Amino acid sequence: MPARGLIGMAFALLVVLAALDGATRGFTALTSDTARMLDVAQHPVNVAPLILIDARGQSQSLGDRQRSTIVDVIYTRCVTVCSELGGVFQQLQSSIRKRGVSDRVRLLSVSFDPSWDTPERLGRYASLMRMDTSIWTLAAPTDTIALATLLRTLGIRVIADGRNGYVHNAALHVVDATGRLAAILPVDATDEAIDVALRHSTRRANERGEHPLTPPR
Amino acid sequence: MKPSPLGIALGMLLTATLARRVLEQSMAVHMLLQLPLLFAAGAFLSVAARGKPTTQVDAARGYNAYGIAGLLLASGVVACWMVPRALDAAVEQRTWEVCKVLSLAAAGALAERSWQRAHVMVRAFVVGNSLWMTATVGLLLIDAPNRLCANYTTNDQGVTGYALVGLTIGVSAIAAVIGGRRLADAV
Repeated sequence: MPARGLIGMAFALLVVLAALDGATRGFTALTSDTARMLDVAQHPVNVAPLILIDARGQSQSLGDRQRSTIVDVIYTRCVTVCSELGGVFQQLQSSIRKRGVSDRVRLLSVSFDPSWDTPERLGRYASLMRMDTSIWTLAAPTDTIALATLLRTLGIRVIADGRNGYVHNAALHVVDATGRLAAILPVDATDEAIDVALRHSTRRANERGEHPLTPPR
Repeated sequence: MKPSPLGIALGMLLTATLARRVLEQSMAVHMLLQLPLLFAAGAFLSVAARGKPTTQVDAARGYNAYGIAGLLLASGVVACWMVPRALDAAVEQRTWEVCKVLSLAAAGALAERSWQRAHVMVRAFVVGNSLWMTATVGLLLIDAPNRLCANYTTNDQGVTGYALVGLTIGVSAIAAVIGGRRLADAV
């Protein structure tokens, strides 16, 4: 084979490698969910402020002044992934209680179906889920544009399932006290989510010159 | 009137791009119709350009000995668009979509050019390799416990998997018949 042929093949190989590198985020992610998790882990993003209305009709915001927040996105009519998420959040709630960290971590379930999920329906769902309101808040946004922005920031895609319901991806989103999305974790990483949330509330305590309960990593 | 290669190419390109919202509604149609349409459009463009004075292309010929480099590049580009993240990004972001259209059309054109120059052994290797790749992606989609594309349902993902495996079986059968005939002719 002539030298030019070999050069051509080497060039083709390099281009293919570069393209695969681009498609897989530097050979780290095959899915967009994984890519988003890694992106956020490297560069935490600010979540645009939005107003949520909880089951009692009171307004809530995504970030809590004192605590880190573990956020999930659901709709109460959901019978598939949300019931799994509900179970995961119940587990998180009891872990937070058991570890005695409810002053530093809280849970927030955001409904992406505000037209159906009125405060009354949210209330029914909250009692069904045995939510402890001091730890776990359920709320729906009032503004659909703000909701779309939130979903984009979190990396959640909601698609119609053709049976009057929705299909959506799910994750545990850790938002720190300043309203910054600090990490996205898979739904089964409950302990890790609490650890990450604590770490971020600790960091905040450090910045204010308080004594953290645990040393930051 | 016999349709001209250029007409076919433009028709395919326009269908694949203008009807993108419809075609990308389903993962199966996205992967098994839109992507092949773009690739085929590129191949027809290459056919249409045949015989035209293309000095630059001719100058690059030496680098594409036996068409190996071109076929390698083309199949690599196709492989990139089998990655779930790339499919999601193409649905959601304009830049990725433009990249997809251009890269697949270019891959099709390059593959057509290179195919004409490729030895039968190279052709057999490329076809075999592509079939293996398609079947593997299909089986992975069938077996995947999770949803891989955020924009498509699990059901759609399974259908796409079976369709890719079906496509592999179909094309393998055709390739076997063609290869068998060639062999018979040679003997």
